[in-house]
Amino acid sequence: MIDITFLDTAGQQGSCTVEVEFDEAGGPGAHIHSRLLRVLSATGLPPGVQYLRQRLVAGKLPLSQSEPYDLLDNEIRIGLHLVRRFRSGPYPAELSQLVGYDIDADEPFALFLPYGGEPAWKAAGRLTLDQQREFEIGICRALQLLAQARVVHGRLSPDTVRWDDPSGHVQLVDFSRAVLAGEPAPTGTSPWNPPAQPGETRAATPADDVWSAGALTYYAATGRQLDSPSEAMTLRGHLQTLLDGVFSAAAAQRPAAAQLLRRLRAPDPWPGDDDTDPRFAAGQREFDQITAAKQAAVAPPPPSGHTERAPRKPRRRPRWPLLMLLMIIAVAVVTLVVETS
Amino acid sequence: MTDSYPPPVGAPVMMGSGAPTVRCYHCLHTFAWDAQTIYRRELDTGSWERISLADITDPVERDEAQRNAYVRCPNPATGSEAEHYLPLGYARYLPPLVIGLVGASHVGKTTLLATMVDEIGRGRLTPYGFTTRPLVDSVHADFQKDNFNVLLGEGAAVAATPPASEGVELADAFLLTKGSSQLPVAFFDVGGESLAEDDPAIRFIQAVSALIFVVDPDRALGRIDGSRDQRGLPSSVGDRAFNTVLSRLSPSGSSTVQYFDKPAAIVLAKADTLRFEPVLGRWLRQEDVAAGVFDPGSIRAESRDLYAFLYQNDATPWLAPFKSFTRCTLHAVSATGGNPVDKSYRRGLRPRRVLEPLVAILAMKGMIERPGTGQVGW
Repeated sequence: MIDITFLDTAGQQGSCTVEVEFDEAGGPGAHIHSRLLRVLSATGLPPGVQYLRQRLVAGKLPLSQSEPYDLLDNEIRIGLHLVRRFRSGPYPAELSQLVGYDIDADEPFALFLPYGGEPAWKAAGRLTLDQQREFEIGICRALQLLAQARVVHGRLSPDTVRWDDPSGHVQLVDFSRAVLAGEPAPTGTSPWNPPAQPGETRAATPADDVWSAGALTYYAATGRQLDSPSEAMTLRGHLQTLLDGVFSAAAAQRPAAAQLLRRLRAPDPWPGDDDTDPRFAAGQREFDQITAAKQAAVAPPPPSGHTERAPRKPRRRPRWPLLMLLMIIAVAVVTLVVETS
Repeated sequence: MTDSYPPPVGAPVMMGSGAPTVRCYHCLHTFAWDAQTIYRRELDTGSWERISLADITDPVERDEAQRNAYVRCPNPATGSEAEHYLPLGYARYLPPLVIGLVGASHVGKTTLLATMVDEIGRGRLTPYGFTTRPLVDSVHADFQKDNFNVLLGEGAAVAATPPASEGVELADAFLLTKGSSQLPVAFFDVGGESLAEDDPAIRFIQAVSALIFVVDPDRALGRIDGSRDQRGLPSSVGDRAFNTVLSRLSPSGSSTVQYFDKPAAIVLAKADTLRFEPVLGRWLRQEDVAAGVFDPGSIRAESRDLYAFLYQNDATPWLAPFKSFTRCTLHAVSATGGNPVDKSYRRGLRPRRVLEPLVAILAMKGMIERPGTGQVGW
């Protein structure tokens, strides 16, 4: 039995007593373990929680290995963002749900509700037609929810997309490399991500996940990994219609998740509300007003692009007095010549 | 190399003789160095040795003598300021950029300054064309030993800054060189109690040319006991140190709305403790200016976001400097990257964005030649 104390997603202290059901190391070189915990007693958890998924940085790492801490930090950051984004309704089952964390523990961890289903690779190529449609709708609903939350998962794969056979639900997990739209896109390559240009640093966009979801949809249907985007051009029938444009090299040319849902004639899981806190927006307006007032009271700032210490170009004198003088001289000369002749 | 640099904002004060002058940060007296007399401090005894440069004809020896030397302020002795000295570099290259750190006790001013100084020492201002060296080696070495090494070696909080009544000394100072121009940059860090209690000894504030206001997120966001009022909101008083400094400065301008005409930066310290807030998390993940990334649009966007974040969390009293200074930026900064556990930083000491306020101030002073620097702080 292990006693755990944590902060819940509202920042309140919670605690629980648990038993470890199983412990998966995160793979070679990875230091984030993923454990399934059976909850024996708890305070500060949603009612009825019997199991938890714990993601933790196990052991004390050398200072040079800070990446696992950063990944866990980021997973908590995105988890909190998602919980806050969907607080006005039931949390969507398509996304793993953070319930607590302790980043200052000896072995820092995050707690999630138990994941749904199994990694998608276990079902790939074995889905019935009805299940395939549920998979397609499920992954597109998940993408639409992420787009509503302005989150880019960035590492969708047969491990991080889960499929629950009995319920026909899809769930996305492991947001350790996720970013908010507009932040620098995660670096590194994966066959499940759109190919990156060498040395490219660009802003993340939900269209990145659309490419990955297309590759996973193909994989779920065929059991085969898409060898190259050009292979998608050979698709026929339903997949051809659904995945049209999904593998475009230009992110802007890929369809949005909402468009994919329309192609599937499936409802939008989150018809949309504005998640901008009105107090935050009011603060931005006040900033703008104060800035404008200061500029008006003191002096207008130099135009954008101005370099303060660049030497001023000497003002050119107007040329019209010189031209006038030349014209007068010319007229006088012509007059003189005419009169002389 | 020459002894001056093109002053970008305002002209250096000149005495009748034409010699450049400096304002003493002890007594606010303005004087000109005679270019002949320097003083050297005996580290063992603390006594001062007077040296005449006229007696040193060898240029190499002369340069060496001036290294780490001081000048004496000629102001008539008054009270505890009976006799006081300033680093020669402070008076020799004019006008110095004097930066005061303002904030309550235990807000982390010294920790922030320690990591800023370390970043400067690591050459992080090189992308902006500056080479740097300590203005006084012994001052820099002492500051590093007392602060940064404590942080790095022991993971412990640095000692509280002494109150101003024990004398105001510059915490550390550097000489920034760009081409033939040389700019002394001096940092002053005074104990929060002195600032909050309007200690007469903090008159040095009048001598500063830029200010960094350090916001304690625990107090500003009402996260610690006693920091909320009866309605549950963060205190409407804000930071008393901010208030004291703002009340002691003299506004400039002729319009009915007057602003302080000094560059200022508001720093939300310990931002790592807020890294799971989307706004803070986003900015902490951005590239540091120390990596050479300088984007005036990004500085404005960060300022606007942080202003809105503090506004959203009812921390408006901490925004007073933004409303008071003509040009002011806001920055999310983490001096250590996290809390120490068992007196060590599990992930190492990882300062994040600690040089952003300094680079913004240098830009507002016109000392960074990049497109759009004129927009910074507006």
